[in-house]
Amino acid sequence: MRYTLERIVGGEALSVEVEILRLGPGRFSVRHGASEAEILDVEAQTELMHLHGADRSVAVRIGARGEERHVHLAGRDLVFRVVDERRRRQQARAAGAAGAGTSGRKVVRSPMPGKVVKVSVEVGQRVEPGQALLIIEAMKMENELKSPMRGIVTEIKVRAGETVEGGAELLSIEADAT
Amino acid sequence: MFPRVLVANRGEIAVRIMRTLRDLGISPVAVHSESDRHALHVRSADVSVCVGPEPSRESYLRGDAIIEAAKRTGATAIHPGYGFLSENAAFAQSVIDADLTWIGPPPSAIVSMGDKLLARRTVMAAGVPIVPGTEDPVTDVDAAMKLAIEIGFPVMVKASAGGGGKGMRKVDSAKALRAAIETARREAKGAFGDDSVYLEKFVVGPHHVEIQVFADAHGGCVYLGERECSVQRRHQKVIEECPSPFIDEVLRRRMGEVAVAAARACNYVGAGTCEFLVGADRNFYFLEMNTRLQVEHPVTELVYGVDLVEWQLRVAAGERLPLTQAELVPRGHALECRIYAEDSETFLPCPGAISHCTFPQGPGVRVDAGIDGGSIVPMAYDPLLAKLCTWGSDRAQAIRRMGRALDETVILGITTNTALHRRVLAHDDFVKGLYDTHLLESPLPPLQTATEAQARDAATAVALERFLADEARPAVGAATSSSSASLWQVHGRGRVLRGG
Repeated sequence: MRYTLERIVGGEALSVEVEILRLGPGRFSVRHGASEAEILDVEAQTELMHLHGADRSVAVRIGARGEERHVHLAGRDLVFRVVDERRRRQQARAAGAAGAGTSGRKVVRSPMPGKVVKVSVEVGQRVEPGQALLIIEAMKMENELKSPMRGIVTEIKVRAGETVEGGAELLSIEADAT
Repeated sequence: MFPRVLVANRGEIAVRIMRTLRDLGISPVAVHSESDRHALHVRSADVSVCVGPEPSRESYLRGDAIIEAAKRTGATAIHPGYGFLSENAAFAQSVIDADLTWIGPPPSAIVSMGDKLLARRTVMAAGVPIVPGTEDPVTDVDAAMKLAIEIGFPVMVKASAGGGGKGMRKVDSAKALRAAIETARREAKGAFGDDSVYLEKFVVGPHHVEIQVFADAHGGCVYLGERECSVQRRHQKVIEECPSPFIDEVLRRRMGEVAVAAARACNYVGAGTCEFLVGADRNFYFLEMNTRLQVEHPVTELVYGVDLVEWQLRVAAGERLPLTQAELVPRGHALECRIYAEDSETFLPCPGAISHCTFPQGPGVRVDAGIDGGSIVPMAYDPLLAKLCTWGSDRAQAIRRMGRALDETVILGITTNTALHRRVLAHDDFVKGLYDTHLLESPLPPLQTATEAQARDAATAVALERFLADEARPAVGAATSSSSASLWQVHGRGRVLRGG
């Protein structure tokens, strides 16, 4: 099986190809891109994977965060996403079907779970980049969310006092052509 | 001393206090909110009493329920930790009125130091230098504008009842003052139930240095050196050290004596901390006195070889201070890194479930944690998860040990700020000990990245995880399922559910 991974480094995604073949119980052949395949004995536990090569043993911790995999080994933290080919094709089709009309629309999501303290804008209001949109309180601190772009607020999905999940849609902004 | 002591707090400080209780053969009693019933501090106690639902106001701030819990469990004393009710004089008084011992300063001292405006007047009378600012709480924004212009921008807007950066805003110009006062008031109202704020001059290029003081009920009062707390984000401390690389012995003695004078001015008893702003010219100004144990007290403990919680208990039991000023000799250097549940770049909080947790060990390492693997970090409370402390015979060794300790730290399931600590530790100004409170506003060195071999092994593990999940999934399901959740994710959730 061939997998395409994205390693997230400083907001950029580096594409990595990994091919895996099962050779027997707990034994695999692993090839990165065009490099030579390595034979590894693997012990998989919950969130922990031991890789035993010819002259080395490595323990890798893997935590799941939604689609992301947060990996820790030897004091280093790395973040990966496994690219789902089927889904990528679907998304590409959906984007194509919707056309350019939605490309100027931005959904502002809550970066963390919290409570909406204040909504500073109204539907129909013109906003500038950096303008305060709303304030979310989490872990006793107020965090101001700012507009990522110039545009018009087309929809507001939350009200002051409401509790929101991380990633929840808060409001939409339509790019202002004028 | 006391057969049983109730700890009216949660998280790392509750666990830390209970450790000393165990060291002294005292039975620890915990209190908890409904969402904390599996928390580490509950499991660290002999018994724990649920005092209400998740919001602090309905649980950890319910003084009556906490006193009732002490009575019911046979505790004869209450240790408040920091935050929550620790600086609430009315609560301290009701503990005393209930014939329990309050492990903290007398309520009168909390009153005179707890309100920052009153505190300034009290210490000024004792000859302690303070930062120029408004004497009275600001109510009228127009009047505030006039005062701010008199003091000169930038000014700070601060909550009278505040602490830890809550209800606190720096204002650079008259234009931003109105909004800053409004926000500070709202935050202060939410956090402390009191929306009065005041203005203060912003000292440019300052160090945040605090002096640990300790007084007993027999007239004894000593200082235990300083803590440098200038590594801050949004006025919240991130890394502290003892001693400060900026303070020499002469200044240490002067500040120590001033701090002792401030403590004596309010007839202080117990552990207290005087916070100072120290300018580049080494002029220092009293900011406030925290009438409780500080978060960062372990660096003082490591350098002075004492257990401050044990001192608190002894002093509360009526004993004299265990050591005199002459016997308090600093040894080596200690650092503390605060591990927060928040993003290193955006500082946004990240509550959630911790699926795995490994803390560092070995020479010169101390960890005070409030969590372990399987813990849930609720949204309702402070994001401080743990404190990593290292001690070295000198500052360089303490820094190297902290680097190793951070490498050994693994927390999976939520985002923590360990990357921020690594970058600060690699910062030239930090390494040289030449920094002030603006350190985190300047660009930090990039994070040391993984080697190519490490990145390859990490990718191998992630791909193998998916491979094994695909193998385990029924063939038909694999073709039609749109779920990308791996088996491990499913396992992880199951464990969280069992744990929660």
